[in-house]
Amino acid sequence: MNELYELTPYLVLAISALASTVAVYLAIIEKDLIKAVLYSAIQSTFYALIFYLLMVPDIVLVYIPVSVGLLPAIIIVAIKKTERYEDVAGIPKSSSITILSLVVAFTFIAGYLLVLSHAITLDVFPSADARVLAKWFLNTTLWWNKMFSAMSPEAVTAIVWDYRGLDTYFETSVMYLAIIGALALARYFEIPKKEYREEVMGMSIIGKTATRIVVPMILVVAISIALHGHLTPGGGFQGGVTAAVTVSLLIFIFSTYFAIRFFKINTAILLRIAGLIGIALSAVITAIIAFSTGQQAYIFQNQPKVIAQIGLPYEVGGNLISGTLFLFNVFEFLAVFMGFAILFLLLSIPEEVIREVIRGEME
Amino acid sequence: MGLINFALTIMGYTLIGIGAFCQVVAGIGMNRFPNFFVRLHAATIAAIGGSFTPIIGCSLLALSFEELGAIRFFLAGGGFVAAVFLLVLAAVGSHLLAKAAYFSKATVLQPKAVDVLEEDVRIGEVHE
Amino acid sequence: MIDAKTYLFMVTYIAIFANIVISLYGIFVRPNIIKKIIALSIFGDCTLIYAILIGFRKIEPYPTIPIMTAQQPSQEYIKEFVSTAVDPLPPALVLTGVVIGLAVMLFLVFLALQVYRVFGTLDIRKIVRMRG
Repeated sequence: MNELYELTPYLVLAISALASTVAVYLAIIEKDLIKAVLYSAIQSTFYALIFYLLMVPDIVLVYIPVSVGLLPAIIIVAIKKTERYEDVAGIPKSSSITILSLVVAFTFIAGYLLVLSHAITLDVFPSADARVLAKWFLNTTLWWNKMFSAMSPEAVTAIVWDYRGLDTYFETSVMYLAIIGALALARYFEIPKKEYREEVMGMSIIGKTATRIVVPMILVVAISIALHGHLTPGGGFQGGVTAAVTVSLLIFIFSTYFAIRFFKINTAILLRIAGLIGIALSAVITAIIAFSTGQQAYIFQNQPKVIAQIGLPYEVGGNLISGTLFLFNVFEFLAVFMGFAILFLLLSIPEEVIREVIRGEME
Repeated sequence: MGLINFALTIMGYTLIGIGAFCQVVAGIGMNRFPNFFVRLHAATIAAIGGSFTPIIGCSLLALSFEELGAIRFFLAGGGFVAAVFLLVLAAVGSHLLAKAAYFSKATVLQPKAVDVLEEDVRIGEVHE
Repeated sequence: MIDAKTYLFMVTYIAIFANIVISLYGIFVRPNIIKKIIALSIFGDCTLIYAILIGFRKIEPYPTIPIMTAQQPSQEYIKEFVSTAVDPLPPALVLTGVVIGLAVMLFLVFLALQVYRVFGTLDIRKIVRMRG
């Protein structure tokens, strides 16, 4: 009986993975695109369960709003603006079987090399020992010796913003480029100035009342997730995508003309730029303080190091704030939230307005 | 203290059992009901009887489990908040689903005895 | 030969392999651009699951999360934490990957909508014929 109890997490892991394979197969084969999106949302739920069973709760907090909420909503809006059914007639069967066998061969080779890489470094897979780098991160994430520590009990947030802060900086810049690309594609579009009338636009009064109650609660929960990211699972990214759900809720339940009252596109761009400037400043604040008092410092420096004896305080009045990690979480929340607000508002412009602009451009 | 914990444990297990029964009934109903709207009723049984009730049961169980220490209050609090959210939003969601399915004519309305909403739309009391 | 836990873990591994194969087939063979975008997002998620699977650890009875629960940890707590916690580096990489993946998918959807407005169809074969 004890054996079965210990076996349960692995059993649920295997069952979720097999169920997700069924959902992926149904999603790819389906010709009605809306049903395909629904099957991919089912696959994402199973993946969220797998992520939870593999003991990484930070990712569950980010994955569920993104893959079950935001991405299906975006793709359904895109399907509504274009065609609903895909036309599969005329794909020659020989070419599709060739491609399938090539893909299977490639995956087998890649998988074999992956398993080989495990066999070289560790013993049977999964092994009971961790890598030396993992042990170093886990040992020093909250340590009395501040020289090597990030002073935060959350190892994952410490790695994202302190040990490997430069990676996160460049990934934020990738997101910045994607948003600039979308803004460039939509450079002459504007949401038309239409009056929002309560009775005619939007969904029924039951939906609107429930949304009016729930949207402030979601915002409060998102801010709380962003603020306690250095203590428990959470952080700037998680809070940002949770808050981005409110924008899509406002657009779907009320209408775009109501959402424009709260989030104008230019205001959202300004606030996003403020968030990005905040991130850049938090990265160099230790360096600025050090250079103005004649010492040396690194960029992205959180706590005092061996040759740079200056750092931000890790404790305020007995509560742990872990220096720059707190500032990074707050500014990244603002940047991610406003970035997705911009993209949702641009996506919800009605097609007639866009066709006018494109007809004017092409002539 | 022991008596209260025992009562909470019994209540928690009962609620989880009711939840499991409701899920099975909802599954049978989804298969055998003839129409979209009656199947929506079965789906809401799964959401409320099969999700809200077991979450309340788990929170009561967590409250009674003293080996967890002070953390059990946080667990129970989170469970209750999630249950309240589910209670409100499942009902609103099924209302919006039924409205969307009716007005987009995505489903066939068989077997039908009388359709009061049609007359209301014709009069002009209800808009899409 | 191998115990039940390793066997079940291998089943998970192979099921994610099957997901990669099916989603790659979807990207290459299916002609609609939105279907390609759906399959691309599924492929990205499978790769992220692999990164987390690599960092997993086999501890009796089950490993713990890489987050400390004590504000002032003692030496024994740190030693036990290091010996039973899952690797914290893969979730740090996957975290930013998910959000940035969403932003890039959004940009791809914008591109697909622009293609539809200019060409009038989302079928790749017809678009190739129109341009050439």
